[in-house]
Amino acid sequence: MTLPLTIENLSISFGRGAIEAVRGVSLELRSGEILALVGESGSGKSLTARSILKIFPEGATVSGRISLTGEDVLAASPSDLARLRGAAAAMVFQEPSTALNPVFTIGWQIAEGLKAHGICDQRARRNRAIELLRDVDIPDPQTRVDYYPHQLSGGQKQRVVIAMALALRPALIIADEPTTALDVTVQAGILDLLRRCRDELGTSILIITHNLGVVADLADRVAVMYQGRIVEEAPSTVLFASPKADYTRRLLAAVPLLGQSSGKEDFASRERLILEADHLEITYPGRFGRTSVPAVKGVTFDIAAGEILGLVGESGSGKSTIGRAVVGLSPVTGGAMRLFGADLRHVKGKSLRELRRRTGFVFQDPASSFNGFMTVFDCIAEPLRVHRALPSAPAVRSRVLELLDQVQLPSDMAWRYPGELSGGQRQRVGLARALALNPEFIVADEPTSALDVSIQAKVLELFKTLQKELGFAALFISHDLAVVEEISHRVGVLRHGKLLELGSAREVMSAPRHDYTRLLINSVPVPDPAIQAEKRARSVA
Amino acid sequence: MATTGINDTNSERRRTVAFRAMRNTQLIIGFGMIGGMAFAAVVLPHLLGLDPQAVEPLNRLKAPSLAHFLGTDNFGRDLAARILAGASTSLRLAASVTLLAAAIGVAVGILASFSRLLDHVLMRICDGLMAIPALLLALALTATFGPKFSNLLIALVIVFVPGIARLVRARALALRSETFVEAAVAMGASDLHIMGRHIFPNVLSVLAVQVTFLFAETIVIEAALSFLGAGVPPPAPSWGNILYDGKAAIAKAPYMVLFASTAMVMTVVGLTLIGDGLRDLVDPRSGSQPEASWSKRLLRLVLPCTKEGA
Repeated sequence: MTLPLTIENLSISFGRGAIEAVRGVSLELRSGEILALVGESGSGKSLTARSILKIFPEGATVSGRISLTGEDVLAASPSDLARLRGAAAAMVFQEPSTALNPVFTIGWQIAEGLKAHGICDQRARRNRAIELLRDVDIPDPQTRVDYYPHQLSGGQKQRVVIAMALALRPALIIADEPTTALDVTVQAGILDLLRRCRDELGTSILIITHNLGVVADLADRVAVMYQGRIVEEAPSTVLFASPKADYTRRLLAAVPLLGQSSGKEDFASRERLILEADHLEITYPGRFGRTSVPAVKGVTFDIAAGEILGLVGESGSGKSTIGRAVVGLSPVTGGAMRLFGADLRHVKGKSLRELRRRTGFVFQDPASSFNGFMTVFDCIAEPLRVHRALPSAPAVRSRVLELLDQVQLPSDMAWRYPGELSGGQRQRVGLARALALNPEFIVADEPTSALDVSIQAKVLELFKTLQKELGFAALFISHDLAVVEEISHRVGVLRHGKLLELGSAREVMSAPRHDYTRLLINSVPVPDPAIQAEKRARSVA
Repeated sequence: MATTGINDTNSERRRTVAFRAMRNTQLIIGFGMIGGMAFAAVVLPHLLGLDPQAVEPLNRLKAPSLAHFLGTDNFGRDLAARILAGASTSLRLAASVTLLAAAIGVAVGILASFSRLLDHVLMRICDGLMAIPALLLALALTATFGPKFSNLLIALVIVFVPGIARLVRARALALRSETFVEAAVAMGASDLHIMGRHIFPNVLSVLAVQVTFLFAETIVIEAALSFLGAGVPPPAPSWGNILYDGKAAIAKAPYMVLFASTAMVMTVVGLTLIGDGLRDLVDPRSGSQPEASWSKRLLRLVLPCTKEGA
């Protein structure tokens, strides 16, 4: 019997072999097996996955052999390729909102694939689409089939994408980071769905991910990619228990584990409060007769000098809105928020500038938080210049170099442009900029969620060291429970704009009082197949 | 700031921009065409002793020859001299119009993006001005105040400012929600600082492209006005009135129309190439595009659609 997928010695290079993105990768996927391809950005995992459908970026040189249910993909004619795509292997993309066309109903989009592969009867196509939507647990599929993508939630959209992939009963589904754009609680559902596809339909799945928790939850076998090569391949139980390659060991060590970090000691001193939110309400005003949108509904918390408060929540919980309100990027519309004792609803002009001088802000996406026309030096020096904090140009220069040193970047990086740096380096520059004026308080809005795990671990370590050294207080916003647990003294859990739970990090994570917190903690896949299987069995029962 | 480090950066940045400019085929060819035209307009008349106003009644409508290498017009004036003098008029007018319109347009656009009230006032004025066809307004103004260089300049600037202001405002509004602008707000920067350091440089990319097209448009509109008799008053030469004179003599001396329109088409094509080249150059994200071979780059000039996402 032919295997659904074999890849032999696949190499992909760019610029006449100058850049080798994939070097001699060989893989085999058996029928009904789930294989995870793991690696960090730039490891070549997505390129490998896309080459299975012969989708290459412009300028790629490819060698090797890929056979899909016995047919050679790289040698296939365009018409054979069109038949193979969708029928032999189908793809599920990372971002469900861009994988669906917003101007057509989801039923139409599922039917389109069926039509391309020769199902002519319109009613048959529609019935099949409804059936598929039922298979992927979309409630009330008869009605939803006529919905447009924007009427569905992110998780539902990903289910529709999976339904489209399943439409022609392919032997292989390639899922490229299928849950990365989704919240943890939604992710758990999608992973269950993928597992059911395998169990009930016998589909083989190749899942590409950087999340080792997802791997432990789903995969039978794991291949770890690093710099274009497969450095280790093993059954997942073996890989997690006894990783052989150095890189795998480092990768596993970098993953922040929920409930296993030693945690910060409880923070006792509450003498001087930096930030107080008292029944804080933030409503985004509606325009042109549309109703206004309440983002934060009566949240009360405070942060003492030198304390790190972590805010966790899923998208739309209002956590970023609270962070932005601290520096006046979102309006405070009800209750009170006091920063250094000044009510943010009433400060303006000079005093607001003064509050901003004493507060640093680290943004989520290091790629967009710098002006592409300014050097790293100018980016870090900007707050110093804006507030005329230092008397002379040489003083600014030495302060910037000192800051670069503090965030462990070489000083010659000062003359580069942010676009020339890697994500981790850019986030260090972001940290340096936030620290430039020696702030007493820092707001960090998902500072590591755009970074790879190993880079995230280093940036978090740096953040902790700097905090210990400089003693600033911080509001640390993240969707990642393990990260928040590792870094915070206290943790607040937000949902739909309400603060459900607030307590010391250890308390909240080990003995959550609220059902939602428990659900959140349970949804996080643990990077250990044994524990994860046990957890799954428990949740089914 | 006079620290050595910053000077280093500037020179390095200049070097990389110059480096990228040298590899930008469109930009080089475009600048070559326009530069050549401007150079010829300034230098050649002096060098060859050409006088666009000198009349030789005996040599009317003569074909190109050694004495008059583009021939003569219906008054026996040297056509090469007139076309070169016309080029200098056209380029001077177009440069003044674009510079003024760009300066005012950028100021209005950026200011409008920072204040809701100002936005409403300025944009309604722009809407009103945009409703008037460019050629008609220019015609009306020059008809009222006389066909003079300065009147033409004012008329065209009034016509072009709203377009630039709208463009800059749209870009500035988008920039205001960019994270790096929010970062500047969060660090306590003043509006003026944000406008100057963050919005303005990032607006330049769209502006540079628009401005070169505007330059080309000015040349065409000036020619049209002169053709209609509302532009540069005769006997001063301009491409428009050469075309007008040539129209009457098209059967006997078709080269008058031919040479004047060739000059105009060359200029407009040159400017369009500059505009396209600038778009690639000024966008900071286009720096890492893979290098293409000479033949491919030439091909791209002809088939702009083969270019990877702009």
